[in-house]
Amino acid sequence: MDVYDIYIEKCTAKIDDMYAKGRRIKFTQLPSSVSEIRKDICIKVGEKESSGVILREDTFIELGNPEMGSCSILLYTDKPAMLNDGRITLIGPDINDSGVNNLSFDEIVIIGSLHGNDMDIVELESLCRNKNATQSFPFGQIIMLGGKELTEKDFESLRETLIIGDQIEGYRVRSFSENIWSRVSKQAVDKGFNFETLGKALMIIFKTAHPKIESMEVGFVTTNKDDISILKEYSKQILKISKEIVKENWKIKGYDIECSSDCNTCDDKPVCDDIREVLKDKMKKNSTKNG
Amino acid sequence: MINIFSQLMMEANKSLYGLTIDPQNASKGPVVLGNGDFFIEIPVAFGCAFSDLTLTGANGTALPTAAELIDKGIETGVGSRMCNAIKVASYYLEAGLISKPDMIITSNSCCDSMTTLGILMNGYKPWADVPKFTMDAPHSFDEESYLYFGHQLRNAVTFMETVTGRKMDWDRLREVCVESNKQRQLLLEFQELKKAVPCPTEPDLARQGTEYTTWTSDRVTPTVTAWLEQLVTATEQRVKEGKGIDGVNEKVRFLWQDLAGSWASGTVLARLQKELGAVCLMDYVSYATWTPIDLSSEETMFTSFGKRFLLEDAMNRQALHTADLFCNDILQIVKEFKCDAVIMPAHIGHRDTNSRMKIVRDLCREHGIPCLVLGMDIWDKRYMTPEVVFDRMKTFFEVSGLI
Repeated sequence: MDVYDIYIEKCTAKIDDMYAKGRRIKFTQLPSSVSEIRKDICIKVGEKESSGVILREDTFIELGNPEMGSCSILLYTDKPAMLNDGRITLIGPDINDSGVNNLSFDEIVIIGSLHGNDMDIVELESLCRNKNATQSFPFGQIIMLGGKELTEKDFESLRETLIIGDQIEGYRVRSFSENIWSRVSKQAVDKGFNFETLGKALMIIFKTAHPKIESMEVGFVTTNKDDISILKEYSKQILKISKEIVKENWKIKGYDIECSSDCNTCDDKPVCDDIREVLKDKMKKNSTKNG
Repeated sequence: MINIFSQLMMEANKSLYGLTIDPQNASKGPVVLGNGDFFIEIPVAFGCAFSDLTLTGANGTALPTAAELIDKGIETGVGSRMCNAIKVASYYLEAGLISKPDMIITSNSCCDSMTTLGILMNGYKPWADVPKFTMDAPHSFDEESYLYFGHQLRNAVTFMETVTGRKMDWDRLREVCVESNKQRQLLLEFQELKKAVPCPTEPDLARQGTEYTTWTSDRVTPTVTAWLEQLVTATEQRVKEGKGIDGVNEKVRFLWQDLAGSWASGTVLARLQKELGAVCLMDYVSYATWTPIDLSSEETMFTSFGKRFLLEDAMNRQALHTADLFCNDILQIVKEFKCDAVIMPAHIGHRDTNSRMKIVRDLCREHGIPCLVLGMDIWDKRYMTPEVVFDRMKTFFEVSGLI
């Protein structure tokens, strides 16, 4: 299972390149075991742990609103050593930084935060949280999995695990297809929810659902549309590979999901050719008959 | 009980009545006639009426004379297993009941019946002098396909300009798209609210809202935006209060993986909800997967239109593409909306869906989701009556241990 390896290398190289260029990147290293990760997470993770709906007024931030741009990539390999197990990479601002953008200049000046002492920051943060979710980050999510026993046949079940549903407290994904559009609640942010938390939650969900996973890395991009566009370009190519895997997996089940409409590859071509010949003969006879 | 939701429903239904034959014939010109969803923002911005003959036929099956209209449709010679919405449309056409349009824009589409209707319209002799344009929809979903179909739509605009001698007002198109984006965001918001348990209000409002936004003469107007805003605000309030649908003790949430058609909502689905607490969370039309129209340039706008037509339009999404996408959508809806069961109405006219029955059954079995295949006609209740559908679904819910 090495069909995605080139994109795992590309994504890793892109992160290294950004880091080298001095971009704002935050790395977090988590322990490998799920039980260890669970010990240090500020929200609940598991079936029915999210109350169901995050209303507009309860939203702290939206990630990947289609107008801002978003992209979700899932890659996996049978070479677990290719990945740095437990690493979470954030390129761009974190969730807690977002509310500042919702404040007017006046609000910042009034609480004196331009002087930047600790009390000002606490007050500023609390003011941010009370702001409505007018702000949205562009959002790229890259999940990379490694496991010696992972094969093409695991694709569907891994993809299904991406349907997070109600498993992460204070976080709801509302996106479809290759985009990822989600909401984080104010309550979750009050508990300390940030991208590290989201990365931890995803690691818990994936590692619990798939014991074959030996290593896992998660990357988030929240910088700008241009960076998301780079990911989208990767995503297009990755999608083509995934489509081929899906096609083959369906073939194993006995279905050809993309029937080829090319006559040259159709098993029934000789039958159609015969019919065409008969029709030609018939037309010739008719035209001779009619003079 | 009269409340804000029933008032909104009445308002939308009043507008939806406009899709029946008489109001459609009364449309003020220039009139574009089509056989399926033409990208609505285009005719709205162009200032012309767009009449979808498929919808006119479908709405004919909701009239008191439905049975008679369907039987007359059979007499026009279309195949007996053809979708009955199309049979009625064929009858309207062949009987000369449709006003002559100023132009015809058709497309090959997800549905073989709709494509047949397009062929009938294009070959209808009394309209031989009506200018015609046919778009080619690829059966794939990738950037190249969206771009390709976007170009088809752009060419349709040029065709409209040639026929009418008028020019598209590009600023107006942009304005219409901004309004359209606002409406889709609100519909997506309402969809999000349906995830609450219990479902806060009539989930069918999502279908009606989509139809109101997409098909009626009020489409892409501030009137519809205001309607949607009211709907979302009132529903949010109910979520906050933890309330479900008035008078319904929600026990089962299910996916109806097809169109609701012309009679199921008001009969079977309403009765299931009231008597058994079985709530239909989603159908083809109410499943919203829209991305906003990208307004950066003319090309990106048309590519967005192309994407919406090919991948995000009701029934095109489910029928134009692979079984894999169809199955993945089922799983996504079941998981996200906490559905307890999947109902496959297996409408007789939907041969594409019918060919996937075994696949869906296998999928549901693998995932432990109770699944029932009906084999009904969503436009003709004589084929399988509302009582029979109700009884079969009731028995299914009972034996599945859901009620």
